Amino acid sequence: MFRTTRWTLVLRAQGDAPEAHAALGELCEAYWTPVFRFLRREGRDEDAARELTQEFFSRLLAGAGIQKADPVRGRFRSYLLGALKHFLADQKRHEGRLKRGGNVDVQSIDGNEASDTSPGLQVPDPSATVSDTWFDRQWALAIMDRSLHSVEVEFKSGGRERQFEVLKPWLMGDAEGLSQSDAATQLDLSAGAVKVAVHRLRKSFRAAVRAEIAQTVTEPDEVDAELRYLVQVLGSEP
Amino acid sequence: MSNSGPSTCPKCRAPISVDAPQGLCPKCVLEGAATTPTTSDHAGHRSPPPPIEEVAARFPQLEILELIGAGGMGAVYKARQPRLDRFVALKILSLDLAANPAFAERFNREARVLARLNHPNIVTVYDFGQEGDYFYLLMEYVDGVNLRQAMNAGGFKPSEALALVPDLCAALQFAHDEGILHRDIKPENILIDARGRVKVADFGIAKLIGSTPDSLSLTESGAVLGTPHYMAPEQLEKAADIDHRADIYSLGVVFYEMLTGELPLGRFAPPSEKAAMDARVDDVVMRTLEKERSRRYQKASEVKTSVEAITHSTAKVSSQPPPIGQAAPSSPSTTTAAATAGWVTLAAVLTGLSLVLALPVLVVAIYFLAHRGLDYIVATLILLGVCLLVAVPGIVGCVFGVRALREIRESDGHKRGLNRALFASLAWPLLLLNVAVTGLASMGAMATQRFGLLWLGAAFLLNITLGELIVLGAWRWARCLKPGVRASGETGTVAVVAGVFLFIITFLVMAPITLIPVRMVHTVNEPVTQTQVSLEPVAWLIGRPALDARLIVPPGHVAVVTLERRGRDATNVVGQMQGFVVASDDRYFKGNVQVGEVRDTNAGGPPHPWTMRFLDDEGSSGSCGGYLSGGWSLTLPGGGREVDLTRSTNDSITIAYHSTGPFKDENLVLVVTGVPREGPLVPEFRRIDHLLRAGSTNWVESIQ
Repeated sequence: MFRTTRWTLVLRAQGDAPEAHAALGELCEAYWTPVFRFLRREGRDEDAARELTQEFFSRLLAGAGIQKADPVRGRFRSYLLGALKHFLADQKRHEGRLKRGGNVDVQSIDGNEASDTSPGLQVPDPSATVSDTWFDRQWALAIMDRSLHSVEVEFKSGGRERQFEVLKPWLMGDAEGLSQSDAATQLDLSAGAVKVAVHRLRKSFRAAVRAEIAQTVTEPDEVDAELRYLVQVLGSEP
Repeated sequence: MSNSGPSTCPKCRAPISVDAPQGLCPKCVLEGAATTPTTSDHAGHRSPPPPIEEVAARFPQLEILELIGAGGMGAVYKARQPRLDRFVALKILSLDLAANPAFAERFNREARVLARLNHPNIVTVYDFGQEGDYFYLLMEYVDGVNLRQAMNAGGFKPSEALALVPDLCAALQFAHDEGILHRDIKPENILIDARGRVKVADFGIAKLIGSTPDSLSLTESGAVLGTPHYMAPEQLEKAADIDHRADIYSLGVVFYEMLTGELPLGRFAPPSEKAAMDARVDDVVMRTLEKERSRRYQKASEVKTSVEAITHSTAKVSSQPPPIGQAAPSSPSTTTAAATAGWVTLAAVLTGLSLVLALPVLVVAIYFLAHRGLDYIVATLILLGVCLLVAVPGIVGCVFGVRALREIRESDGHKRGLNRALFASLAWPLLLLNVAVTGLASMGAMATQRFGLLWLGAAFLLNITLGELIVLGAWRWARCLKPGVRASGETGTVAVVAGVFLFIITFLVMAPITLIPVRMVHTVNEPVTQTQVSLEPVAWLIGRPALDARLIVPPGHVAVVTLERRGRDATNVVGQMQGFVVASDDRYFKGNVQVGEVRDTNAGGPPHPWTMRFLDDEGSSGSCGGYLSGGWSLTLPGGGREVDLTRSTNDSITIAYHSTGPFKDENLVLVVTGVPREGPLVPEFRRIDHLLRAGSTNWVESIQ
């Protein structure tokens, strides 16, 4: 009755089984952006952030951190953030070592040495502490983005791509600025048909969001709680 | 990611940042996704079943073992009651339902009713209640499969189906007797345990959770949710009005599906054409599947009897299958005759008896009273008493008749005895209505003093029309025919019979009224007379005469009055009464007056003389008299035999002449002779003849 989510798969298998590995890979691919943005927010430039993100995920997939994941604390989001911080702490130690001259090679500040595969000496700005909440917000945006995308694909395959484009503002709710009659004209539909289409779109989106979130939690009733939290996070000050 | 949208959110007015996906305000979008829709969304957006741990925490007295199933209504868990060492099924109703505050009250009410269903073929409800947010039912655990699974497993033979159906019927009948409908009979709700015993589950659950047709909602595309294939036609159309017969239809669908493996959709073939089985089964199945519920089996036990008759008797396979949609079979075991409404024959007999006896009894009573000379009021009371006596069987018959009519209506017009019930309940009311209408018409004629025939004609028509409308209305009411629905040909017969009956009673009621008594008040004034005509139907009814002629003789006159009844040709005197009436004059009449015996006579009998003697204070005596014949009687003022002229306060005396016979086709002749008083009783007669035709007010006067 309750489908096994990717995250539950990962937790149960503790990284051993190939399906679990694949599941984790999918999850990482899905939530690449929040990690990347987090690393950017800390002060790195785009290339550096990109490279670091890759490094983080490959470390993760190599199985380094999964054993430490606590199955009781269900959500993948929390886990990922924790793993990321852990990884960054490791990185700092590594960089610190380098700073103290632990490495033979001389580090160029620009990092232009071709032989050097490590990222350039990026000293993160310690004053820009990125809050956990900020990460969660990015997470929420990622969820939203993925859900929108999947609904878009769904509508496209049904030949209703234009409908999606015109009606997607109604996903924000009903508002004075949104005129259904304009939409009806644009889509060459009756007012009633527009209502129906909006309802269908919202329904699909709702399902998509829940499906996305479900992949990152272990218990189905957690979906509601997670969604509520994400909404809350989006509502607070950035 | 295109970012072509507005820069501020139209809903929350916050600025939309550059990285917002698809240019939409993330807060509002995800908020929208978080709100659950208000209309319950059947397509899988219900709250998921609670996990076992949570259920176990809420029900510490049970061991929750596993989730058996989950559907639109909620989830069912297999559990064990350690104290009783038995397995139970715990049904948790969906949280969406608990949101409705009226639900708790309804749930308790309905669940209590369901818990009364204690039957070997019904899944028993042990307990019910509310734990926090969850409404639950604790039920018997059935270790087996449901009928759907059994059918899908293959090899469901007709004989097996026939073996299951009687138990299903028993379960249904038991519940129906308790007043509980299932409303959702389908294979998923019929369980078969490991020993092959059938148990019906979820009785009345549909009503409990409020699955009225509002929740049989339409998707936007217009498709009906759920499978209505098992629902009776009336359940789909107007589900507020269904009764136990909807369950019988659903049973029929399940039966058909068990036998043939298919659903009876559209124009479906009888089961025996689809699989090898006894053709008698067709009749049973088709009758349960009748679209019109009054044509179905009216009780589940009847279905049971029919099926058992087939399985118990030797199987005879008929060579030809019967045509599709044939009505009830002719086999003696199936009871096709519906019950008769209670006591309807007795009611009809009582009413008929009272009607038939009423007239003779009344006539006898009137005759009896008329010849006693009783006081008007006493006579009226006695007559009313007699009427009541006659009315008692009529009243009883009427009450029983109305009861029977109600019974017939409740059975959808199916019970027999409608005609008898109509007669018993309506005969007396119609009769009384008749009398009322006719009475009103005669009062109208009296008031207007003319158009007597017009009034009577209108009353006649009104009586018949009203009576017909009432009878037909009651007939339709008992048959549960809504206005606008055409009735069958039986209406014609009913209308005709009612019409004949109404005609007879109208005639009987109106006939005597047409013989309207006439009162004439005749004032003798020299030489002209005045007359007044008035009607006295009541006087007639209690035996008072049809003619009341009053003479007012002014003082100083002596009137000799002759009232003659003449035959048709106005010359043949049938009866005559003549007398002298002497008006008092203080000068001349004082003292007492003695009167001889007066009696009334039959028409054609010998005349009876009467005299009135009087004395004056000077010792003169005199008398006046006359004779009575031909149905006349004499009443003196005060009702006694003496007239005390000295005590008379009027200047004239009134002597009333009454006739006891009807005057139709006869002429009344009032002969009045007025005599001026001159000297001691030296009459000088002046004869005034008046000829009055019955019913007319024209006087033909000839004065000599």
